[in-house]
Amino acid sequence: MKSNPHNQQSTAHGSVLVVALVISAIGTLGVLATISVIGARSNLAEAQFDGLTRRIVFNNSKALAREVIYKNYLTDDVILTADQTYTAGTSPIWGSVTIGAFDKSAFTFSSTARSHPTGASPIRAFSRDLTVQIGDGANQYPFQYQMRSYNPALAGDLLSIHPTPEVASEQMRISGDLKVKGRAVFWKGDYYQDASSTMRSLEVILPATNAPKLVLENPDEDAVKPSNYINFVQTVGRVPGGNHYKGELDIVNNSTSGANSYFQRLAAIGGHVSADGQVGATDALGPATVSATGNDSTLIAAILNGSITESTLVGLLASNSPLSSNVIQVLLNRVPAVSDSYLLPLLNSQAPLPDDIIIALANPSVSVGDATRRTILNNTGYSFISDGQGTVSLSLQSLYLPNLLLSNVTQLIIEGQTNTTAADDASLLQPRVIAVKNPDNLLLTTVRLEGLTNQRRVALAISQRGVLDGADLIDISGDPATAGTNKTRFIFNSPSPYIQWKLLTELEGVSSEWDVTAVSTVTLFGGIRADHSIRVEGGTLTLDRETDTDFIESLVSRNAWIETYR
Amino acid sequence: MTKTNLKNRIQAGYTLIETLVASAVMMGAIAAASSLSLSMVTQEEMSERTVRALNHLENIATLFQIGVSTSEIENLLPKEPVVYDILYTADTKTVAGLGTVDFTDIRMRYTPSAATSSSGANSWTGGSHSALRTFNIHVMRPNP
Repeated sequence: MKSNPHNQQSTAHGSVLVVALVISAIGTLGVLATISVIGARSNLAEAQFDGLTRRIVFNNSKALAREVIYKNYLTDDVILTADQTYTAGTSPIWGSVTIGAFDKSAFTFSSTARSHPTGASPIRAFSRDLTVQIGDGANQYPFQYQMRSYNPALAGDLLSIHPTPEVASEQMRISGDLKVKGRAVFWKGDYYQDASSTMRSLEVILPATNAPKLVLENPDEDAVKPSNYINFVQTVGRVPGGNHYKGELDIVNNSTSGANSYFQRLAAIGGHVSADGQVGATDALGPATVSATGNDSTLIAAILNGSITESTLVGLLASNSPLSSNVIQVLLNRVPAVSDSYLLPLLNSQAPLPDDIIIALANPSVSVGDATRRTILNNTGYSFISDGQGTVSLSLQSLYLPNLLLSNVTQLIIEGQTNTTAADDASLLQPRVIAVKNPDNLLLTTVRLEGLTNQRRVALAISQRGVLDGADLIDISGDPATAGTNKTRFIFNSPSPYIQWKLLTELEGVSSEWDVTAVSTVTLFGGIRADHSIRVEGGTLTLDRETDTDFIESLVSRNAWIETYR
Repeated sequence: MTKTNLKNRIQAGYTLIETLVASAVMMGAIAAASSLSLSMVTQEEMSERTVRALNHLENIATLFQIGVSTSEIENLLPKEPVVYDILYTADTKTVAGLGTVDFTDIRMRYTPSAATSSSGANSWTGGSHSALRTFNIHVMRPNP
């Protein structure tokens, strides 16, 4: 084809138009894309309202789950037979949680004791699993909760000082030479101590915001500062009319929180013995009594005859064995008393002694030397004796010692072991719980801890809640003669100056005075949980950890808290 | 028509009419693009301010839920210019099987537009500078 100028010009015009159209199309696409992006961004921003709402509802649901578990399930001995849903608000819902069914409460669950390696809570604790569905308003998400519980002393909190409900202003004192080879926990900071003494503990926790009023040192006398770990909210169980999370102790005889109360829990477990200090009783191996015989009147006349020599009298009695209970009773009450050197072999020859004689012997008013009395009683194989006049004696070397629930007790005598062989044997015996709940106005004044040592694990819980009537009763510092009267004295008596006792002590509503004068140094493997003053007198009391937790961990009282796992 | 005349006509430029029409079309397109641009910028700013306000509100809710007091929250968080005010109102909600639980209604008002003055004869702005948008959330603080 021949070249034509007209055709060439037309072609040039068309090219410009196409280029313009293409540029316009590209520009239009760019504008549309920008509009689309801006629109998407707007939609995203608007969706944030719903997103934020769902996150708020989700967090509300977690808070609701915590409150539901703490209020409805943790403090009580309840189970949940079917899933239970709790909802806050209606249209819109601002929190929703479904608690999965469970068959054991926190305080009664003893099957699984998991280890928790973080250190934020006790390494070992009973853990009741709980599946909780946390809602966000649109969906529900499963979370694993654990209702955990454990005794603080077994967990390492060897000294737990709880708030005192009796008085508004705390005046507790921790005085004397008390060393804690573990952690001391003060639920409240309102306390003080003697200026002459120092609180010594490896670690101290002061959950309250109050400034510490203690001079804090570790056992090496280096200054320590209170730990500032995050602490879980804990409960010691339900307390009547109170806040269940303030740490008030009501763990001895508390019918409103039976799962964490010794009297109720041991009754539920069974196998315990309830004893009244005002009623004579024992479980020794002998008969209840030995009936009178025909020559009782002759023997009694000889006992009451002041001119007959002890050797003649004892010879006469020995030749008429077995003696009746009536004759032995007269012998024990003879004035002047028969010398221990004659009495001991005579009574040993009467084995097994009848219960009524054992009960009589257990009474401290009988004119028998302490050593002789203990030797005679130990030979009877008793595990506990109530003398009917307020004194209860316990033998921790007895295989047959049951868990004991005591009342009306003014003096408690706890016999440990007299030699290392017996101590080794006792360390293999089942742990036991001794719980004392006296009525109002009857005070357990003395706990005597006798023997070379005690290697049997035992928990002693004492409640004197009804006896208190004022702040002066809890201040037992200073001169013991003028100190408050509402105190229980723990008196150690041992042939060794350095003794070790396994004893986990829980003291409710009573101050305690630990008299170690006779031995100078005592190491208590267990701990002290108390809500009143503690005073150490005459030496050093060291608290150390009980590492053998088998069986005893499910017997003793607990603290409970919850933890969450995704 | 001679060959010379035809050549001159072909080589002539656009007529005045053509140029005027093209210019008018161009001016319309530019005006539309400008208006669209302002709208898009305004919308983008509103989206950004909304997100910032909601982030601020979420921070407030988080601090409140972990137990920080409202006065401390104000001190802790940097001031967010888009937020006009925050109002806390104590509230309760009844939960069947549990009882009454404490809630707090947190109302946030913020200014979605970045305009600093009203639009008018001498001021060309995107959005109303005085418009406020309100958002409420109900927050439960863990207890105990």
